[in-house]
Amino acid sequence: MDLYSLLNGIMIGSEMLPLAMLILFALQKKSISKRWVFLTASAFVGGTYELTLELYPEGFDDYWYYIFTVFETASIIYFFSSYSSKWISFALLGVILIFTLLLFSNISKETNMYRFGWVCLMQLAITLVCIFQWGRDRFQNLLFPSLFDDPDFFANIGLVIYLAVCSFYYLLYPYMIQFPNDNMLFYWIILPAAISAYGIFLSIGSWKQQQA
Amino acid sequence: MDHTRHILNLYYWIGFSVILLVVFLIFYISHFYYKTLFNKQKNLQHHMMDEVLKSRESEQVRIARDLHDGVLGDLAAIRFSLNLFKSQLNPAQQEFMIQTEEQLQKITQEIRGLCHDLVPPILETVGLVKTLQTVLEEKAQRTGKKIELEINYVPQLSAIDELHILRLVQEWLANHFQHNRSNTFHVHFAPAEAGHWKIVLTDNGEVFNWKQLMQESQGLGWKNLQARVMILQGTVEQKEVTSGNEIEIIIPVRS
Repeated sequence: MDLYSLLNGIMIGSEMLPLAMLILFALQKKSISKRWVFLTASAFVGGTYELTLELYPEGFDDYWYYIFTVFETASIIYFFSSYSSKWISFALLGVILIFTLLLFSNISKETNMYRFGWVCLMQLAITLVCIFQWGRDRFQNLLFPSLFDDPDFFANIGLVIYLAVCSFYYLLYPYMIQFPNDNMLFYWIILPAAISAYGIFLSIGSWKQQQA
Repeated sequence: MDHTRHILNLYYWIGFSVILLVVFLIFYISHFYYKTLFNKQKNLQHHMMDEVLKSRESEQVRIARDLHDGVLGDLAAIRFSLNLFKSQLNPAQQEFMIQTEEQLQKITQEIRGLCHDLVPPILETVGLVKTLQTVLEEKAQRTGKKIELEINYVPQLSAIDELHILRLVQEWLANHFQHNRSNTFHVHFAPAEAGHWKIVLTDNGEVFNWKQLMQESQGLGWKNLQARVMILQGTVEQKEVTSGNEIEIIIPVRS
């Protein structure tokens, strides 16, 4: 097995793990939060997409990515909806939808990775706004003795790492492809690292949320 | 070309490391700040609860003193008057008078027991263990229930902490007498993990869920018990047992 397949395998596995854990807890009749199901489901869909792309590379085009991005953003907004009013959630969802549609209305293969970086940055901005709302709620109510007892805390760390690294990677993509002879694995490695970290943090959060 | 590539590589990895560092730093600082805030809030709550319980104790002392000096004195005077009057009555009336006197005696005993519950008169002089033995024996006699006390370890406690422990056991028993239909109780003081000791409270009554009870109970009894545990900086754990309930209160040993 080469390094690429190994990293890809770890990345896909860690994306699928959180939802698998929640299903296991549900089968054990433990209480599962709906918003956690949606967030872990979006990670699972991401993992499934990567896996399918790996097995049937010709079967999918980049449009699937854009649909996934909208679904992922919606699940992030839904995840934080209990901390902000519905209007803010809808407004944020609307912004990302419009933003995505505008960006990909005329896709050219050369620039879409770079544009995707801007979408990730937009997602990161939305997530940071949501995390700010979450933080305000937590610091006002002091529900848990420590933030390490709060499952959402782990989801937040995972989300920020994942989205920040994705934005960074895709925004720098045009500069990377200026060196076509270089091994792209050298640059790409941060992506599976961030996605795996996201999956692992979601798994810790899933574990904590059935205990909380 | 090579130079540009090297610069790109350098900035790429520095950028990636900075992202990770900043994210972890921000979340770590939030965690640290949250913990400080939480502890501050908890200490404030402890302080407030301590004040509330202290003022309640002093109010209990006042009520006990009023009962002892006022009501008990009045009852003694009534009994004395009845005794004087008894010799002038016919046998049937005397029989009625004896019954009345017995009722008065019962009321006097109940009020005296209440005074002892409100203010344990011997805690300061004989200490927690002897006081607990006396209080529990008295309680067992009065209620006809089986109450066992097993002491393996008690650390050096301040006067106020001794009072909290005594009250805690009394409140646990009182709650059970009211709601739980238990007839056997076991109070066990034992050492726990390093720097801690524990009070294990066992009963054979209806099974309850401690956490649920704390959330749903409208009564003050369980909440008072929880408040005293908080003041002692302890934690409550419910153990799984085959019948009845076992509550373990772990308390840090305060130097």
